[in-house]
Amino acid sequence: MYDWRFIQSAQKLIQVVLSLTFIGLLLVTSSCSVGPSMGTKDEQIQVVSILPVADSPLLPAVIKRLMNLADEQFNQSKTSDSIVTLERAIRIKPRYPEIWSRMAAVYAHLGKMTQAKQYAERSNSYISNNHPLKSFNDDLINSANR
Amino acid sequence: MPSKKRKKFNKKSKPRSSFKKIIINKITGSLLLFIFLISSLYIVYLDIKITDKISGKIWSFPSSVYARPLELFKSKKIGMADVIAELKSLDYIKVDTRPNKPGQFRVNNYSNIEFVSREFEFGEVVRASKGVRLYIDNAVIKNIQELNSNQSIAVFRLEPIKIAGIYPKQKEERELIKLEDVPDDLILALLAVEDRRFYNHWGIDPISIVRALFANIVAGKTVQGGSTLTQQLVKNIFLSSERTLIRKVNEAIMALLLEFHYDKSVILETYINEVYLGQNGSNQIHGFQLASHFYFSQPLQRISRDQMALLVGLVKGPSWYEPRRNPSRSKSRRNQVLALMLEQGVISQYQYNKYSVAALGISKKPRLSSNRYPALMGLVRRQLQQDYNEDDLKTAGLKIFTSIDPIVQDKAEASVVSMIPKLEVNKSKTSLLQTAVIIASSEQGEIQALVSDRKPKFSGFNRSLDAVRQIGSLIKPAIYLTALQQSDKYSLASMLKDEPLHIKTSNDDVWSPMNYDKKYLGDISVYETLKNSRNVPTVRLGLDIGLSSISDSLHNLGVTRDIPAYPSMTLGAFNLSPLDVANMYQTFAADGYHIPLRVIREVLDKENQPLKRYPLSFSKSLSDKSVHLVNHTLHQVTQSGTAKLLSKTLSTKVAGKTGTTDDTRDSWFAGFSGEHLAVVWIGRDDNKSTGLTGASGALRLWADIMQHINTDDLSLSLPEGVTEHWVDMKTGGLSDKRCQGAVKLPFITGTEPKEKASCTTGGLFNQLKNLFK
Repeated sequence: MYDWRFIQSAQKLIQVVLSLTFIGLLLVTSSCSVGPSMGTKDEQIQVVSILPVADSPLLPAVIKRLMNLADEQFNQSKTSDSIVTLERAIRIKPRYPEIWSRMAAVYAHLGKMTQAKQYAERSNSYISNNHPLKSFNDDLINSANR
Repeated sequence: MPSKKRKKFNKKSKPRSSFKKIIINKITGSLLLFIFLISSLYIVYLDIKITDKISGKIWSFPSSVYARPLELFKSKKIGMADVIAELKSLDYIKVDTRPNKPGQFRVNNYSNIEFVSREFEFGEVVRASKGVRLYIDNAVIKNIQELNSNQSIAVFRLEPIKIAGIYPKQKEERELIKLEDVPDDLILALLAVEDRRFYNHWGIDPISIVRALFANIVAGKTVQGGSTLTQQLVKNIFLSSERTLIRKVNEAIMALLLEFHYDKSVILETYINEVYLGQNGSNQIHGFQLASHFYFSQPLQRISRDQMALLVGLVKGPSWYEPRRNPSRSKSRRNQVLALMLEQGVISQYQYNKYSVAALGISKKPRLSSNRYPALMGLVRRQLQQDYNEDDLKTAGLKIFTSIDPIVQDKAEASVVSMIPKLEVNKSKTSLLQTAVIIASSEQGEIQALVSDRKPKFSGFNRSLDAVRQIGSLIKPAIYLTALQQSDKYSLASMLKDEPLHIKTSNDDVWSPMNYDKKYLGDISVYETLKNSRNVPTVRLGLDIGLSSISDSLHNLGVTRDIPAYPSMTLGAFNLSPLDVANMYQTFAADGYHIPLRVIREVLDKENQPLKRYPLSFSKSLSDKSVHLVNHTLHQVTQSGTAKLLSKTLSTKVAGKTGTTDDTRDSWFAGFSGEHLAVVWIGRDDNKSTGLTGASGALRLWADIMQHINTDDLSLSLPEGVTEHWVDMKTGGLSDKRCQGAVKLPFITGTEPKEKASCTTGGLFNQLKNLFK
């Protein structure tokens, strides 16, 4: 009788400990996912959304196609696929600043600000001061520097 | 007495006999128990062996190395011959009618090619099979259309060529196929021929054994086997092919165990993927899926019934019935299989009549991919070994996608083979000249081609990676870059002294550097010094800016080796490999962005899931303005400097630098267009004189390669903060384009010369000449 009660108490104790551990884990996980990085991510999404779409008449059809494909992949949350597609575009036509800016935006979305800055700077190296992409690139570089 | 004795004996012997019997019984019992125990243990051992193997990793899969997929788009520079070569390397079959099966192509005339691509699983997307028509004119793609709808396609990516495999010792190749993807007709044909009662036995089939025994006795020789598919599978996976009783017993026990543990479908699927069906060089072809690709260049799902019958027929003797070597024997075996299929009701009489007269339909033998580019594979393996162990590379079935461009590689190899003998000026030194060539994409640092021997297919010392040699004047752009970064002190118009120079070294010797022409030109501009590769003013400049600053610049340019800090390093008296030089010049080609050269793009696992991607990565530690000034001068090197040969032989705008070492031991040229960076070294393995300078040796090979690959013009657009001015080369003062000796040079804004030079117009001709500069 005594033993049985002891086993029951032990079981209860184990249940309590497990529940507490579970709650603790939940708290830790939620603090990781809804902490300050969430705010940063919102900002990053905003950064991406202000990027002009790939419909410039100056862009060759092959680049437009690949940039649109990269956008589709990005919108489906396939960011690494989106990067692969943009790299494809860079291989084909490396001197189009639009691709480098797009790549910078994707990296910014991923929170990889060092790479984002490098791509934005590389985009700037192909454009003049009055190019529409310049302010986008500069904003991104400034936010990376901050 | 005798009877008494006998009696006595009998009396005595009775208990002895029963005792003996008891002993014998006990021994026999113990022996039987022992045998039973040993047998049980042995069966348990076999059982563990089977379950371990079948439930775990049954096969080793060699890794496959792929070239870059060829991207086709409007305005791409590519000749029809290159497209055809690419399709042939992919084992596409040329047809005369409109292509309708994956892997077929037709050349309508020399401006229009049609093909049906095969499905291919890239890391990020599955590219379905598609019919495509390409219009090519003057080595440029004018249009791409979908074959059926005639709709324009913006970009089409061909599947990549498999250029190598990384194999374990036993070179087994196979492509896995799931049972549900195997055509029913193939299964029916296989069972009709090899094991009709497959679904009715437990691993061994006494009825088949008796039937085979009877047939063999009647024929007087072995004409039929009684082994089930399960027994064959056991033999293939676990046992040798020796014909002994012990092996047969083991085979039977293991077949029973296999059937006890596993479903028929698992056994059948394993058999279909395991069975040996041929040989490609030293590589063994296992499984029906790979065999289908090997013999018909088609996946199993797309081959016809007669082709399935041929594959099933091969099970009996892949070498004896090999269809490429023994077509008539193979056809006769195929028809035997067709007859069995007819007998079993798998095909109708009409189908039998049709298939038994059909041609074999064997495709061209696929190329052996294991040794196509041995030097390149050396580089691929070195880069892979940083992330993967050797065992995984040989057995895990990785798919390694690289940047290797077979079109560029083949052209570089062809240039090496044709040019090196022509460059052997001193025929007594014939065959001693060696070479190394590296070609990479200018902006992404992806290695596209690499040659490490005058016989490119020879797999020996990898000179591109391991031959460390003095680089001579290839160092100069790094010295001038270092100086031009000190823009308050140096510009391209700054004047240097080309006069005798004597330097006391640390061991009290005196070093007196000389110009190649043994002359001194007095005052000379930075621009002219680099363009014409003058040694003495370069040493002077190097000592002025500091050896450690030059060393820092070299590291910023991507050189990772230690650089010695002694004066002769300013003339390149230190050793680098061609790969080091390529890393250094890559930074110039990419406007100051250092991009570590790479050859691997992505690695997928056996199930096509990405394991690791190697994305484009770069860093910037050099001013693009200073780099532009150097690149402008390096372009002029190819127009009127030491590499002016290029202005006559190449129509493409390029930049580069020659390099020659003492006693013409090493001949170098490193240069770039808008699309490609290429480094060429020519020398001898014994480090003796070649009689070739950079201009008379490496430059000529470089030019030949660049003439044959399609490449874009170098872009020299001015970066922000750089302006161009006319300068008098004699004084370094500002000039006017109409003045004699005036040259237009780029300057970092604010560093242009302040003083004006006196101007001599030099007549109408000079004015007109400058007008067009």
